[in-house]
Amino acid sequence: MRIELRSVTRRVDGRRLVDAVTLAIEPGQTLLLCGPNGAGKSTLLKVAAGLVPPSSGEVLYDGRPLSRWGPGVRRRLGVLFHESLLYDELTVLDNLVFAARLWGVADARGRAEALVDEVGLRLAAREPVARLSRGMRQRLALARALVHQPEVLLLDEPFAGLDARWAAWLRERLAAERRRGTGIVLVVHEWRWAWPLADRAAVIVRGRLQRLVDARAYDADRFGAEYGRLMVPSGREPCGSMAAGIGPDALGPDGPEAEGMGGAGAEVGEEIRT
Amino acid sequence: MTYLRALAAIIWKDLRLEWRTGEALLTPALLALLLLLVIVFAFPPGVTGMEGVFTASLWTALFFAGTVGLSRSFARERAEGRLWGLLLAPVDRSAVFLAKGLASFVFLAVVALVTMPAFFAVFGQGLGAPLWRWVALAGLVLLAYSGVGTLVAAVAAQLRGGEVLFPVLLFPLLVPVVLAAVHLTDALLVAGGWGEARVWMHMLILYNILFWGVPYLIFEYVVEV
Repeated sequence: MRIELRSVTRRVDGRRLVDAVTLAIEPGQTLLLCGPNGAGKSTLLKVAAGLVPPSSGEVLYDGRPLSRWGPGVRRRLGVLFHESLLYDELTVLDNLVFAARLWGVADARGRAEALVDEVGLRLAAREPVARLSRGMRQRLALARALVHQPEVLLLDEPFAGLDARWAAWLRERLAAERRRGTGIVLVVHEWRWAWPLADRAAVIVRGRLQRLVDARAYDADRFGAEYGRLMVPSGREPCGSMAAGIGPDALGPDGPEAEGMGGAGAEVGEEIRT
Repeated sequence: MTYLRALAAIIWKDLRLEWRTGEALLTPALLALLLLLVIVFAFPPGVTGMEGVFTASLWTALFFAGTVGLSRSFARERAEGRLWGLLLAPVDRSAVFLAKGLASFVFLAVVALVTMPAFFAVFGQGLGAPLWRWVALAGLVLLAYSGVGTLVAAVAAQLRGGEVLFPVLLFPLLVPVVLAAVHLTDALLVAGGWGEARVWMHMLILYNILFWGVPYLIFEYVVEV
């Protein structure tokens, strides 16, 4: 399924969280969405998912306005937000069984059991979610997003909290999804970690789409330099790995959440706000 | 079919949550019994004629105790973006309202089932009418309560401090149900009183149609962010 946002603006209390953004999410392609904290990336995902209506502009699924689709079209979407959408009091397995049933998966329990194994939570399957570590919660939230085998994945910071092993798993899983024809949007701070997956990369600052590039024809360092310039007001040094040209290999064995790495995006966000 | 499956899934999830937390069953049941104790202790020793306050005590306790579980039904969904998870389900969003309302009705019915016998026993009150009439009365009153309560809980969950505001928003809307419950209860207790109370029964049925029908139609807009 192709999702197209046409001049989408989302205003809340007079503030433009998303400002006239035009973007398309193509089947079998990955769009990397970068930007500082508060840039409007998460709001854009919610607009694309039909959770919040745009104040102006249009959201089209396969060329048809979202409002003209029935609720069944939501079966084709898988989402991961900052919020886990999980029930802390329920067990890992119950959360997945519930999601599978809600999405009308034929063998809900079987699918849930398979995903529990895939995300390495077999030993915690009967534990309440409240007892899970951050990384385990993130894996469960990812499993929830994948439970009904959606055609489009809208993932907000999917690598957050994952160690190197599970970050690598996620990259492989997303690559497999892309080969299967799934359209993917990745909202990431540490964009270099996801760069090998990207077909296109977009930068959003203060709700506006500042840059949209063909990632396959673009050098990561060049994108990093441009991104850094967009992030930092003139006369200031760009900070963190984004503008420094550090590649995914240089992130070291501990993955995107390793010490000193996860904070770079936040620092850039702080720069923007000042 | 998909609609019914989603409805069943949400009810199943709420029952599982209740099994693990006891928020909508245990706490309201205990609160209702505590209110019964307070009412009994509030009367000076030696006072007779407590049967006169039976009706008021019964429904006051059930309505107040019920707010505890009802207010949590949507407040719980606001945490961790869970409501978004429900709203993204590939079914009409009225399924969320129906499922939450029916789950609340089940919880309220269990609370009533546990606490009502205690009220009859403490007040020394006989049934005065066939049991099925009591079941029908309690069923209709609690159905109306859970319908309007679920709607108000959904609205309150969108507001800052919504859990505190919940009873303030709910009770004015609940007045017709309280009136109907009191009149119908008195009619059951007094021999031959049922004929006059029929109008209250009709009002209660109409209220149920209104407060299950309207939210069913407008729920999409109620939960819109």
